[in-house]
Order: sequence, then C-alpha cells, then structure tokens
Amino acid sequence: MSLKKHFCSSPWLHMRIDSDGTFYYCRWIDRNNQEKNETLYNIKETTVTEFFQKKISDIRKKLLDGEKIARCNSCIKMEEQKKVSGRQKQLLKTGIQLDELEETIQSSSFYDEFKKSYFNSGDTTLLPQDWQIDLGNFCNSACIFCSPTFSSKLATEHKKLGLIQDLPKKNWADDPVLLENFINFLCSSKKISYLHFLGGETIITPAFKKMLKELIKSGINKNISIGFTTNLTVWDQEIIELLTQYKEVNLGMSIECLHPINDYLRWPSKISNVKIILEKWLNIAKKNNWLVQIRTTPTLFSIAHLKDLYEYAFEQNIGIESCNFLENPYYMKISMLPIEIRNSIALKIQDWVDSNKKYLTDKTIINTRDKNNLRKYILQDALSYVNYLNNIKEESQQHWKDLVTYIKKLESSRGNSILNYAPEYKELLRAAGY
Amino acid sequence: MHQNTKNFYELLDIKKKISLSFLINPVVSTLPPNIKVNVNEYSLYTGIVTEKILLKQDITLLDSIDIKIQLYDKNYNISSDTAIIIESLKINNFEIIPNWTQLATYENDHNNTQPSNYLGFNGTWTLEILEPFYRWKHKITGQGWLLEP
Repeated sequence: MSLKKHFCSSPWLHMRIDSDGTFYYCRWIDRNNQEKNETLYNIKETTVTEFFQKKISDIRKKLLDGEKIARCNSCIKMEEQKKVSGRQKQLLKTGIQLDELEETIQSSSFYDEFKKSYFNSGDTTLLPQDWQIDLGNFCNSACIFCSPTFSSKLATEHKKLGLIQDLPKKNWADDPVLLENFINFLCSSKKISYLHFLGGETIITPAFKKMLKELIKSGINKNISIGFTTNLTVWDQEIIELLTQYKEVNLGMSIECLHPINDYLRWPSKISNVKIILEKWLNIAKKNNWLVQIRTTPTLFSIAHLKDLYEYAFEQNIGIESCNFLENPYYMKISMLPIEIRNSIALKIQDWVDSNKKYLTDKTIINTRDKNNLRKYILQDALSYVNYLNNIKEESQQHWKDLVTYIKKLESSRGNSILNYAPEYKELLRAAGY
Repeated sequence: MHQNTKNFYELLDIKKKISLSFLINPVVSTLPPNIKVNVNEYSLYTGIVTEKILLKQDITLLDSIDIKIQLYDKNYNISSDTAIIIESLKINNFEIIPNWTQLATYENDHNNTQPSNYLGFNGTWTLEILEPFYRWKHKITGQGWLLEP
C-alpha cells in the first residue's frame, strides 16, 4: 500500500464515456485489465450521477487506501519509464504533486472531498467536471494499429476479411434520445470545465457538431475548454466557427510520422494532403491562440521516425504527446523489435536530445499544456522513449507471425505492401513468413 | 521529507508545517541597518544587523503568509549606503528570492516601489500569500488548471 504509488484524484473530477456508452472512471484506463468482479455500467441504463457518485465508490476507496488498481496499469508503466502519466496530470489539476504528496494533498481544495469519501465508503456528492467523450467509431480512416471499436472503416474491412464476426456495438451518440439526455446533463452541470472529444473522426461525427451547437445555445460555452483529436484528412469550416466561441480549444492532431510510411499506417490518408491540412490547422490555432498537440501512437513501424516528429514539433514549438506506450495490438508493440534495433533508435533520439540540452530541466514538467515549457516537455517525452526502448523486454517471436498474418490480410484488400514503405524490415518480416 | 504514507488514514494524522528561511545580509556603511522581520504574528528579529543572519520560522500548512521586512531609523545624512539585501527566502525549499522577487511589494520613504531584494530606504518589503502556499505555488509556477470541487 502506498499513496505515492497509487493515489489518483481522477475519480473525484473526471469521467469517460466509451463509444458504446460504457462509463469509465478514467480516460487512461487499461482496457485489458478488468478488475475482478468489476461491473460495467452504460449510459443506456445508468445515469451519470449514479455512476459517478455511487458506482465507482470502491475505486475511490481503494485509491484512498493506497491500493493498486489493475486498470491503472498504463499509468504505472508510464511512470516506470519517467513518462508523465495520466495520474500525474489528473493529480496536478487538483494541485497535487508526487514529489510533495502529503503537503499538496492536504493543501488541495479537494482534500475535504477526499475525507468525506474516506468516511463514506468512497461515495462522493461531486459530479465530473472533466470529461472524455468517445462519440463512436464513425471514421474515414482505417489505421492499421486501430481497432473496429474506434474505426467504422476498419470494422467493415475486418468483417469482410473475416477478422471479426460481428460489427462493434452501436455508437451511443447515434441514439438521439441518449445524446439529448447527455447534452441536457452537461448543460445542467454547474462545474463542467473540460470536454475532450474522440471518435472515430470527430470532425465528421454528427454528434460532435450537435454538442458544440447545443452547448453554445445553453450559454455554458464561455466557461468550457474543448479538446478534440482529428486525423488531418477532413475540414469543416462550420466546426471551426463553433470552436471559436468556446473559452479555450485544445487541438490534437493525429499523425505518426512525416515519412511516407504514415500512408501505410494511417491508410488511406496521404501524407502530402495531411501536411496541407496540418498547416491549415496550425494557422487557425495560431490566430485563435489555441493549444496544439501532435498526437502520435508509436508502433514498431513508426518508432524509427519518432525523432523526426519530435524535431518538427520542437521547431514549430507545438506540443506532442502519445497517450501511453502502445499495448494493443500486441503484435505492433515497439518491444517486438530486436534489442539492437531499439538501441540504435534510442541512440538517435538521445543524440537529438543532447543537441538541444540547453532546454533540458531537472524538474519534471507535468503540465504538458504550458506553452512556455513546450520544448522542455518535448525533450522530456523523447527521453521517456529512450528509456522505454532500452529497457523493455523483447516480445515472443510468435508475435511477429501474428503481425505478418494480420498485415497480409489487410494488404490483400488494400493492395499495398509494407516493404514499399519499410524495406529495412524485410528480413524480420520474411523470417516470420511474409 | 517523509513521503511514504501508506494510506489516507495515515495522512489524516499528519500535521504538516511549512518552513520559512531567510538569509539577510547587511550593508554596513557608517552605521549598521536596523530591521524588523515578521511572519504573520511572529516577530523573528528586531534590531541592528552587523553580519549575515539566517532566520527560520515554521507555520501551519494552510495558513496564509504575510512576510514583512522593515528597514527603519536609517539616517541618510550620516550613513547613506546603509541597507540590507534579502539574499534568500525559501518556503519549504522553494526559492522565492531571488527567483520570484517581482511578487513582493516595497513601500518606502523615497517612493521607490521597484520590486527588489535590496532594501536601501526606510520602509517595508512585503510578500503576501493569501491562500495555502501550495495552491499559490501551483499558480505562480504555471502548473495549469486548478479545479475547485
């Protein structure tokens, strides 16, 4: 038991609704590590208030008892490699920092709420003020590391190729009654501060535009920060006009690298078009003083190009963030790469960091949105990948076979080949049956 | 600092204090400076300073903090260079001076209100922290949103 290792303030302020309407207490939750006897609750049968105040009381109690929660595994892994974790970010929103944990918990304006929960079996009377809203899987991209839960295009392809039997459950936000009820809940909440939207592709998801409009109608837009992630393949001027009416916008732009292999990974996007839309967003963001972050999901195919993406972000002075170290699909984990390749990639990143060492700082930057510290944070995040590349254990060879089986199926429908984008992987792939 | 609390129950029993420390260096001209140093209701020093002094005071964690350092009875005709330099002010090892000197106010008989750690006039240098120290620190160091329940 340890408060320092396991305590998190997230379940007192934050909630996530998944694409099928399932409620979770954290956006960083490890989906593969379900707690024993955990019951899942869905917007279709449970209210937000009931879920947040009563149904996750045992989680709050465990956190207060300093117990490890299996679902928190992603954050534990990030902290092991000195990557800023979701837990650290959520703690910071309540003024708590791990290096002065006791003092900052007791100084937090949430301290009395922790205390109330402690003496009431984990219950709270609070409501979430920081949301991640997964609107569903409606998407025009079929990234190879994505899953049918997050991409309708990939879901259709998987079904056609026999990789899945059934399409994912219906998106909760496609149900007009559920959507209206949820919007009404948000509009009646007094303390909503941040809404982060994910798709599918948010820009083309009708519920995204509807929610932006309805929140403006209700007049709460001036108190709310909006965050969302887009895949840089689509543009909607009306959405931009709507976004300008909010207090603050945090724009996440998904891109794996600036190398043509981005086309293979984020199929069927074309890097030349992606770069044009990226520039358009950067201009809009600059004009409106929005916070911009590149969102990347490094896999074994893109990790060799990560240094160039860090460099681009560094030169542009924009943020870059990968939510966590990729765990799924397991056959695209960076740890699949042999140690000598990983060490060589780590060395390149390390050399680049060293060439900018005047920006390095001893103090961990947790507020990744601080515009004054973006470059320092980029270097810090780059170093977490150096640690990860050098320290992770190599995966089973069987995973390479699973990878080859998967990409061969996709390539049969897409008419492309990994070797046209990453010839340096030829031997590894051939050895696994490619 | 002790930071291995097992659970929230243990934390309830811990009464944390905040430690303030000052390092004050006199500039002795013909006459040494006379100073008063106060933190909240505590008087840490009153009188002549002839050599560097280190002052310390603990206060309760959530108390607001009102620091006043006063230079008084300076005779500008006899000892025009008499002054004090606040070389260091730390709160729980967080360096306010020299890093955050601009957050203090300085009222004196020469109406020179430029924030400074060099006090060369009769007057009072004040640093007020009107909320729990760690919330203030969060804000001044740019740690981002600080949500209220």
